[in-house]
Parts: sequence; structure tokens; C-alpha cells
Amino acid sequence: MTNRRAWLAWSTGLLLLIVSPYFLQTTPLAFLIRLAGVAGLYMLLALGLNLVIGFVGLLDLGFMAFYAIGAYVAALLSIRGWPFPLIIIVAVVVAVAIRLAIGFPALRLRGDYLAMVTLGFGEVVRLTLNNWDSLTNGPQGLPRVHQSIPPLKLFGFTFSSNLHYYYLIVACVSVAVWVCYRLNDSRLGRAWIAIREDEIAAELMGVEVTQQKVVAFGLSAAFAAVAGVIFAYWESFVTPESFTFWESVLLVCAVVLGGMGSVPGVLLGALCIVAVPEILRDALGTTLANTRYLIFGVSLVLMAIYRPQGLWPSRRRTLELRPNDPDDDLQSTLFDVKGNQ
Amino acid sequence: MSFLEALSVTKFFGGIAALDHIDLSIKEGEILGLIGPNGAGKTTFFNVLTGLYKPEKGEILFLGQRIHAFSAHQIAALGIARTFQNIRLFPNMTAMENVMVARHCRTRSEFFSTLFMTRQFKAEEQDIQRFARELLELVGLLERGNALAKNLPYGEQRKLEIARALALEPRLLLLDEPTAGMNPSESEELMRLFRVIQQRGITLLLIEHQMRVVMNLCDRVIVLDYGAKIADDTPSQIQKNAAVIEAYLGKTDTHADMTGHA
Repeated sequence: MTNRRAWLAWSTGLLLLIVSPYFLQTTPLAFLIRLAGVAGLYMLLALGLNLVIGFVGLLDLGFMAFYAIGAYVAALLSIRGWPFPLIIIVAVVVAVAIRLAIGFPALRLRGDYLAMVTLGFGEVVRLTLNNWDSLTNGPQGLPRVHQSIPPLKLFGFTFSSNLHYYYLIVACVSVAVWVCYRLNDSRLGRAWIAIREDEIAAELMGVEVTQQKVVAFGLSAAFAAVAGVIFAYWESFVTPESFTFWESVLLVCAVVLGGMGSVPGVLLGALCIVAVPEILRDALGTTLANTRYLIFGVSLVLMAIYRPQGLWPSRRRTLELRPNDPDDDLQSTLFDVKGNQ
Repeated sequence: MSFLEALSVTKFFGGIAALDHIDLSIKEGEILGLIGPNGAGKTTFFNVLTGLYKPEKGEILFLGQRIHAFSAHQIAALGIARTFQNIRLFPNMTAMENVMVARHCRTRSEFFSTLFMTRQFKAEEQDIQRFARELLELVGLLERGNALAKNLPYGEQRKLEIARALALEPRLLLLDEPTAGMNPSESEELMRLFRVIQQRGITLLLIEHQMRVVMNLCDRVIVLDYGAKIADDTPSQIQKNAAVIEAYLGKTDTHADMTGHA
């Protein structure tokens, strides 16, 4: 029953998200479409980061690096005329490959050291983009003066307005949500959460801890790369300025604020970190606009004190507990130690 | 081929030998007790057996394989499961999920079958749940299955750890002070459970402080003191063993306390 209700809630929400912007585009509220699109990109990133922080329990302070890699791969290849679907694939492969190259040595480290390695890597990527002039055009960003990133084309359709990108982002976030939910109640997801809960106990219960960490680590980079590719096309301009340490920290805030490991929580957290500063900017007027991050910071501290589990904490699934049917033919093979080799 | 054979296993912490050339063998199907004063190296021995620590010297053969070089999850997959002296459940997962996690190395579903809910994935998930329910029923926790592990009372947490260990389908189950903090009727209940587990063909090695449990349950008892094995005998012989009495009580000629709580 709860399953059906959850399904109903998700599909109604999705329908609202699809229909309402269509009517908003000619009203003064059209700016909300763009804001929602940006929030959607952050949701995609936060869902990816949640796999690492919320599920496996590893602190990653340089997640924006993979958003940057996705964006720069898209910018570099689209300028050369590569088609969008191919670029998505290449960006994901590149980001995951780099992520795994970092992950294999780093994931053997304990939590705090991993946070330092990821923090350092995030800065290395940003500085590389800033200084590798021949490839990335340094701080001026891509594209160069006489080049341009062509508009996004998919199945013959050209994405030209914010609304089009909004729909693309909604589709991507929906897929990401679906992936997270599938994982949450599966063999892999349970193993990841067990690692978060007690790494040693998980290892002794037969979970290949390092291997599973690598899988989660790699998968999270794929989320970031997809978000990065869309970002590059939408802005049609990328600079290293978009991928600072501050952004990585904001993403960690989104995950913690929303509720680690909780998919709706993380979506809400991402919405908050994008929307709250914007709303505060409007509410405070231009003179006080610079205090908005201060207010935001104070509210985060209050959250940490009064609601450490997050706005929408994760809840574990309830399962049916009726005793097994003794007539079941599979029954006899269970718990038969000698027969199982 | 012997079931489990430890040959001259030595483990140092700093300059101190926590395990000092331990030789022991376990026969398939027996309940073997491991006792000794605090700090004798019992838990260290468990940690070495399960691959958490690597021994400096010696080797461990389990079903003919030299497992002391294996990683902990490989040893678990080979069939050695354990519980912990200080309970180590997955606190924010339900009791059911705690047991289901331990099916990890007996199941196969990978990323893409999970994503697309293939028939193999669904069937496997059904099996995992069925298995978990059966084990919760065995330890008497079925109706608590959806409670978070951290919200279970102490005694139920201990039982849940046993159910979780059994979900690995172990050949050898290591129990680290399973009756610690239990009242006599709860200990009695656990002893019955251990008999059932033994009847299912699982060999048990348990660290135990309650002598009543050791004497009633174990087929054989090994005594450690300062990292060395000082006795290996039947429970009734252990009670009379001069070295054991000395280890527990100092030099004395009475051993009345050995029949009560040590």
C-alpha cells in the first residue's frame, strides 16, 4: 500500500514539474524555470555525492572536479563538432576512469585521509584547468574567441530555450532518482550501507569492502559527468571559476542538510542550497545581498544542532515478516550447510 | 584432511606476544570452548582466524586451504563467520537487513541486473528475504524484523548477531562471549540454540566465561593464558587441571569455584 502511495506521490510530482513550467514561461515567474534547472543540476550532483557520503559513508570534498571534467570534455568535443550522445558517453567514461584512478589508492585510506585526498584532487583539477592554456584556454574559459559550443541536438531536436534544458534536466534527475532507489533496496545498496554502518563488521560478513567502495566511487562520478555535460551546453561557456572548493562544500551541505542516504532528502537539500540564497537575495534587497551566505551558514549550524539527521531523514524499508511457507520447495535447500559448496 | 588446523600461530603487539605459538585443531561438528583469564588472547585468536589480523608466524589451514594470507571477506566466504564481544551490528539498518547483508557473498546480483530488475535479481532477492526470515525465526526475532538494530534490547542484539553470522552459511561459527550479560534463563535458551546450530552441521568455537555454559555445552575445551595454550581437554578434565586452576585462581588446592561462575 505504501508502495502505491509513494508511486502516486512521485508521479503526481513529476507531472506537476512537467506541466507547470510550460504555463510559467510567458509570465513574470519565468525566471523560476532557469532556477529550477540549476537546482536540477545540483540535484544530479547531490544524488551522485550521496552514493559516496550517504550510502558508503566516505567524505568527499572535491566532487566538483568531476562536474568540471564532464563540462570541459563536453566543451572541447562539441567545439570539434562531436554529437551530443557520443559526448555524454565519452564524458562519463573519462570521469569514471579518472575517478577510479584516484579511488584505487585512496580508498584504502581511512575516512579523514580520503577527505584530504579528494579535497586536494578537486583543487588540482581546478588549477590544471586554469593553467593548461593550450587545452583549456586558462581562466578565460572555453570556447575561444572564434569558436562556439553548438546548441544541443538530440534526435533531430535542437535545445534552444531554458525550458528545453529544464525538461532535459528533469529527465536526467528522474533517471538518477530511479537508479538510487533501485540500489537502495538491493544487494549492492545494502552492502554499501553496511560499510557505512560498520566497515569491519561488513568485511567480516563477506562484503568486499574496498571493491564495493570503488564501484560506488566510480558510479558517483558518472552522475557528475552527465550534469557537467548539460551545464556546458546550457551555458555554452565554461571557466574554471564554476568549479571551486566552495561549490564542493555546498554539495556536501546539500547532502547533510537533506539527510544522508535519503533520496528525497538529498533532492530537498540541493533545492535549498540553490533556492535559499536566491530567495534571500530577493528578500534582503541589494544592500544586504552579501549577508545572505551568512544567514545561510547560520541556518546550517542551527540544523546541525537541532536536526542532525537532516530535513528528510532516510528510512529503511519494511519487509513482510510472515513465517516462510514450509511447503515451499526452495525451503529445503536453505541452511543446508553441507549441501552448499 | 582436517577441518581447521592452527600451527604455531604467533601474533605480536609491540614486543608482547598476544598469541605465542598456538597449535590447535578443530574437528568438524564439535563444540569447542576457548577459555582463559582476561587478556589471555582469546579474542586476538578470533581476529587472526577471521583475517582481521595477520599472524607474524605460523599458519592456519581451513579445509585444506592456507587462510592466514587471505583477506577477511574471502575467509568469510570460505565459511568462517563470527559474532563480536562488543556487539557490532549495522545500527541504522533493520534486523532483517542486518541478516540480508550477510547473504552478500552467497549471491551474485550486480549493478545492471539491479537496475533493470531482471528475473534473476528478483528471484535472488526473494531468496535472500526468505533466508533472512528463516534465520530470524530460528533465533526468535521474526516479529522484530523491521525494527532498527540499534533499537533492539541487548539480548536481542546478541541473537541478531548470531542470525547474521548464520546467514553466511558458515561451516565454522565463532562466538565471542555470546552469553555475556545474559541471565540464566537467557543463557539456557542460547545453549539450546547452539545445539540446534550444531545439529545443522555447523562447527562451533566459543569464547565463554560462564563455566556452566562451557561445562554443559562443549565437547572439548582449550585454555589460553598469556597468549599460550595451557590445556586442551574434555570439560571434566579441565576442571581438574592444575595449570588451569593456577591460571584462574593462583596457586591453591581448591577448585570449587570452577563449577560456578568464573
